[in-house]
Amino acid sequence: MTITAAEDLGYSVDERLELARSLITHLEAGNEDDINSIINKLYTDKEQTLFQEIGKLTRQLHDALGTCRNDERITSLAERDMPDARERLRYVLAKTDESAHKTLGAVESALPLSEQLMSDAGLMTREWERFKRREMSAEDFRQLSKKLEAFLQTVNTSTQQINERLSEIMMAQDYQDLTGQIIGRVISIVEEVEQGLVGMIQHRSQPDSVGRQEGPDITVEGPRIHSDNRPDMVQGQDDVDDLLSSLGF
Amino acid sequence: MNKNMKILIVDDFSTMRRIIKNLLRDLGYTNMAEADDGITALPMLQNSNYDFLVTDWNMPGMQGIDLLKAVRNDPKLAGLPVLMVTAESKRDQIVEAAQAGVNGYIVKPFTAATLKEKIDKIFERIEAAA
Repeated sequence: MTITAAEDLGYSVDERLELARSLITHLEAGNEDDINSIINKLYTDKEQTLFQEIGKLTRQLHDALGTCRNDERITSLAERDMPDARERLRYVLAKTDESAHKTLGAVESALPLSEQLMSDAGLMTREWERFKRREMSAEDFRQLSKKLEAFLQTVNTSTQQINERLSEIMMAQDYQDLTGQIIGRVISIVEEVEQGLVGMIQHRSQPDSVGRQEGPDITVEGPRIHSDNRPDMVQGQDDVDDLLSSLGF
Repeated sequence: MNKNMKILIVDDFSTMRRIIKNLLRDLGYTNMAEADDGITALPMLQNSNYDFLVTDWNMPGMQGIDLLKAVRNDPKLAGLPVLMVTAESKRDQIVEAAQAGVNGYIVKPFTAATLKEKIDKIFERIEAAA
């Protein structure tokens, strides 16, 4: 900290000029007492200004520290909500990973079935064309008839299996809802942190005008992310059914 | 069970509405409408004759639990069967939904078999009571 401007000192420029002139006069006259008195006046004036500045800074620091300590919302954000947000994002990661693998797995198991159907159908079509062109012996036709029967059987079972895989793929898309809810929640935590920080900054520049930032009231929980250590939450549909039947459902 | 019954599906996530709609279609239901929260759902229910309501809990605007309570408080809608399909899995919440008069409660993620089972159960009970 440097004090250069004249108004930082207790004396005005004119007063200091006056003091300097009389200092020279007393120096020339050799009045020791007056010389010392004037030097002291100038010195203590500067010292007082310095102490005032230090006092002001201490006050600001105290206020800033007090803001941090008193703002419980900031503390709870740091201690509870940030780890909670991390945990929730990990769930998003796990859930999207699981859904992607479920989808890919279903596609991988359905593709060979539809490829087989395609090639069998191609084969049957060629044979059927041969039959229509009357290029087929009675024995060949008996063979074709058997193959057709087997093919129709395959179509039945394979399309059923493909349908099941398609349903699995559809159900795997539930991740969008479950992770979407969580991401929405994390966004609101981030917004709260932002508000908290803005609040702190405003608090510092206007010590008495900004109150504590209150977070939004969260009454819904969203998807289970760590139900294994939450006795207040059900573990799955069976628990729900048990609870409801205990209520007479 | 009447496969032509009119069903309203309420969820703020369109992907989940599509999933439920597809599952219901697989079960043979064809008469379905969608809403994205309680505020849009309630007037739809009041202005048209729905036979079944499937609703999420956590939605912006009006939440599913409030929609359920509004339905039970409306003399015209009070008897409407309501199935809740939600990720909310706190015991207190399930108890609250039961007390508000929900007919079935499914926690997400769920399976097609669970959905069928709960719907069958709801309508079996209604038919038995009739």
